[in-house]
Amino acid sequence: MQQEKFAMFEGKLIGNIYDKERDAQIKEENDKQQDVK
Amino acid sequence: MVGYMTGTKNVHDLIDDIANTLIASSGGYWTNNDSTWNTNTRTEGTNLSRRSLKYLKGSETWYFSMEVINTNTNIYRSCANTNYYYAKGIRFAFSQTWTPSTGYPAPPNSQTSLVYILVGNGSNGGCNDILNMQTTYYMWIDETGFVIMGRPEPTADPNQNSFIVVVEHSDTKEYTDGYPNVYLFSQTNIWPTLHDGSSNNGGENVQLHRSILRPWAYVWPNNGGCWSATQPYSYGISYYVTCGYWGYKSLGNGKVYYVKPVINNEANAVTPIFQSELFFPWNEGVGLIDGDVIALEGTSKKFLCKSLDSPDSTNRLNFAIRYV
Repeated sequence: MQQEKFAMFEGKLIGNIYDKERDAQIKEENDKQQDVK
Repeated sequence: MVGYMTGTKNVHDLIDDIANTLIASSGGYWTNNDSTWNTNTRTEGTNLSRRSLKYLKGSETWYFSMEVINTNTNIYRSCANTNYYYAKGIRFAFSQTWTPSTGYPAPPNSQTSLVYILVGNGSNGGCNDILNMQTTYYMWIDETGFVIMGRPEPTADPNQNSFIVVVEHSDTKEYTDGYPNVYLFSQTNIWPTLHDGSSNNGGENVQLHRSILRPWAYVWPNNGGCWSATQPYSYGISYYVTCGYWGYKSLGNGKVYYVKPVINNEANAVTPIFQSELFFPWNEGVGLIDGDVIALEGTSKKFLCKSLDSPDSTNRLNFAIRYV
């Protein structure tokens, strides 16, 4: 089986520890995406 | 305690924290190597505040040391004239052997990198006592090593650098090369890597800042030459996701894409041996900002985006470091 190495990885932005508005906005958008699924 | 830490301390206490936390980490791979290498003597004009650790895992063993450089160290002579700058900071070293109290041997049996935090003009009397400088730090430590990003609090010094230093061990490699599975990576915000012109001083070049130490394969840069600031990308550690970009938030689906830094076994980008699990660089202007937390899909790991300028430069170091 072919094994992927040195590939691009993906992650998810889940918040911001300094900017409360941005933190809330990120969480809201993530919740919406969760609902769609 | 291993994991994420943040706060403000002087660099003497910082190297104590790093050493003591590595020693306390699981596995017992890191041990205190030399009780005479401690941080008791913090006097300006000496480099006697220092720690030494031994790493032993399986058949792999090496020594790692950290020294607070609190003497005005002549870091370069311009090719054009005899001017020189002074630097103070932290010198990191890997070594194959250790002599009690004397310390690590000369290269090629050791590799060193002096991370310049304070840089002053030699004609103006040099840098302040580093004991009086506080550093705000963001740090992750576990049994594999550590990543620290630090921003010095303002002093009268004209060129204070923020910095990142990573020391990481990997259990596996793509191919056997006979060398330890460890590297050091470092950058500063004003001069990512400062090519130093002081090789005309002779000696072992222990005053040089090297962005990459790869025991015992290579160090980068490994030359003096004229004053110049250089990015280390593709000289041994590479991390481009797409052409011109490191980590970013997609303009299409909002996901974060990145490449774990690829550690190469030679000073190039075509001899990969393993990838970092402690840090990755990210780009400004593409959806990410200081303080953002990124969850990695398929794992419980999280990374914190940090963006550090310094008191004397708006250049920013943008790296994500392990957070959870």
